[in-house]
Amino acid sequence: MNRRYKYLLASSLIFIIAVQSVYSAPKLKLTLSPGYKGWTVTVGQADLTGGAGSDFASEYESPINETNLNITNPSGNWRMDVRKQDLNWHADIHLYIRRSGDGTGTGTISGGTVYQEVTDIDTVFFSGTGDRTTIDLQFKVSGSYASLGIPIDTYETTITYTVTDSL
Amino acid sequence: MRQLFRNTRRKGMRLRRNVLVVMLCVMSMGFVYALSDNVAHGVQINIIEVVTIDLVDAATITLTTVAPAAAGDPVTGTSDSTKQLRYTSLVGGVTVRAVQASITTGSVPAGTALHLEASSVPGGCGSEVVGGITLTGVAVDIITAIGSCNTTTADDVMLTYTLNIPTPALLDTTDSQLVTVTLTLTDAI
Repeated sequence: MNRRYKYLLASSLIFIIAVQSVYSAPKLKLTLSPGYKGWTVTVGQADLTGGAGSDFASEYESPINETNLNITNPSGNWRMDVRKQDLNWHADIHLYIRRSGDGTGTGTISGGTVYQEVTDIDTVFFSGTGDRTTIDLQFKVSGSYASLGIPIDTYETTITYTVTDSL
Repeated sequence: MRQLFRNTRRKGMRLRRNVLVVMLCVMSMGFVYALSDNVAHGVQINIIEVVTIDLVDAATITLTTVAPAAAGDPVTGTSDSTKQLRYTSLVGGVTVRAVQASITTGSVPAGTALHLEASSVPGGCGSEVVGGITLTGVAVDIITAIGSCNTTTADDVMLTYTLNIPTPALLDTTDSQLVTVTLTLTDAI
């Protein structure tokens, strides 16, 4: 076997080993609480704060543990970002999120405990190290829809959470 | 021959370089693949239609004729501006609403007419009909172009009722009538 073929054989073996090691290594994983569909707020006449002439409440809040996030197999430090992508939204409706629990695990967690607005661009939410599971989340949305002249409709957006291993 | 040897060596080096590049790419893909992950869910806000109107005080008001100060002057009627109206409206699309008024029970005394005018409509919550209307059994707009809005419970709309005397010759001083005026927040036609 000449040198060229030996080189190709060796390279192929190294290639296969590299591919194998990459795809079989534990991977950073982010999940939501199982089966979670999303947060829905419905307001109508019965929700006016004081009958005819009044408006809706200035804000609506989800339960404190509306859903949770689970982070597994980070290589070390990690960062959580959050953003929304509107399907049908109104500029005068503002959506907020906060981390309402520390979760559990051998790692650490910090930040994100104060409500922050969810915007159309990735924004740092919280960070930590190691595995962290059942990190509770709570949402809040602005109200006062009548005084803002917001038309009746179904307004929808998608919130995306991205966990990144810090380099 | 030497040239042929050089070309062969160059091809060999290119091959080794290309294989190395491919390997590095595959390892990089794996590295990037493990660096981030994401999940998503929806948020939905359903705002449902609202149409509600109310008077701050629905007590009966009394309007009377007033004798002229000097002989030959016309008989006039009194006014009342104590009634206040409030409403909340949420509509969709291009829908707008109006507040309409009509006499739904009773009749005004002979020779008289009941006039109604709305004022102090909060900005963004409709426009009062300038000059008001004469109330009859047919509902007529007194406030128009009401979209999604609320008057609040502090800046109520003022309603001024005036008893006019268009035909004094028909006045009967023994006549006294109770009428009901109904105000409706309705989709504009």
